[in-house]
Amino acid sequence: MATREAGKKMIMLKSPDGMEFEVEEAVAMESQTIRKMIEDDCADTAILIPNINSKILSRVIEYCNKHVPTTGATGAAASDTVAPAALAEDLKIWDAEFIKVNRATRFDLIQAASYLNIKGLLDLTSQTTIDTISDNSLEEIRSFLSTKNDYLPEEEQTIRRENQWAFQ
Amino acid sequence: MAPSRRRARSSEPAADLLTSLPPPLLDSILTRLGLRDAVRTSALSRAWRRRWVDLPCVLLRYPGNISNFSIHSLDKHSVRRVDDWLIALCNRGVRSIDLQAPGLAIHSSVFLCTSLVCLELHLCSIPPLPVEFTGFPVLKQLKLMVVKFPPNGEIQLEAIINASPLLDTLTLSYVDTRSEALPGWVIGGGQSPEPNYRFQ
Repeated sequence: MATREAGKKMIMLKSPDGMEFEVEEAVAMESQTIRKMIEDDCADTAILIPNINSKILSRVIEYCNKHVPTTGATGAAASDTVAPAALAEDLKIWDAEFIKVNRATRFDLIQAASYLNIKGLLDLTSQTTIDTISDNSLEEIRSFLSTKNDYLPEEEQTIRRENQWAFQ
Repeated sequence: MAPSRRRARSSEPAADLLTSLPPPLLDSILTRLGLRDAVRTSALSRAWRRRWVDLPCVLLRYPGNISNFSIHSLDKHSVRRVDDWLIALCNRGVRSIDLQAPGLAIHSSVFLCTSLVCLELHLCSIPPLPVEFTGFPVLKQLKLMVVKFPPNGEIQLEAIINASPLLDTLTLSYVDTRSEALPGWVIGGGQSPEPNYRFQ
């Protein structure tokens, strides 16, 4: 075990469906919620993450793994070899690929990012949702959000008239 | 079992993937919307009807200057947001505020809108002047109708008038200054050639 670098403490994250993920403490601490648990000494060797199933938790860990070197204060080695701008560009491309998931997964990721308090992931998932709302017609937004239009046609017309400028 | 499940399902359509999120989380997502897109969501479904009004930052995200701000009827959703709107208006070069808000204690930031040319307040409670108050350098019209000042409001009213050098039309109607004694009004000319003061 001497090959495992000193200072790279490992943490076990457990999902409610019984899966266990061993991650570096620095990666786990991308989550402010977990960071607080560790700092308050509430975390034993294993931390149970309620409400987040193994499928979503593994995606979240994937995100944190990718993002830890640039945001972690200890990751000096990575930025020595790659220019920060290139690194940021690489992350952007990676994020764009990462968020290409189905609707249900995206909303699960939003909830997970919120619960675990991972700002970058919450920003990414929220912004993608916002872009969808901004770029599409009402009908397309309804279909994306699974919104049932329960207005009567004349009610919808009234609402559109109230703020006509927004619907032009 | 079957009927209750069906009933549960039929009462559900109100919520969708977004509106079923916890409200604070939904707020934090929706505040990223521009004003137009936020307002547009009102047509999605009944659950969305007034959702945008509750967003604390809707007005703040509107990119341009706001010249005239007028509210004549307030539902209970909007009432909670008037403070936010007034705060947001301060730095937007607003030239005119016309607010009819029965019983509402308006936010003192209204006194920090230094670009105001016209200020009309109806049916509301006037807050004390904030310490940052520097006056209304370009205010021309001040109309106060059925408003209530804090105790000894005549001193505050005087301070407002004194700090509005261009004021040419002052209309006071049913203004409760909550004075201990009736003030003795002395009306001076100010800088306008023909000031137009009306008291009712």
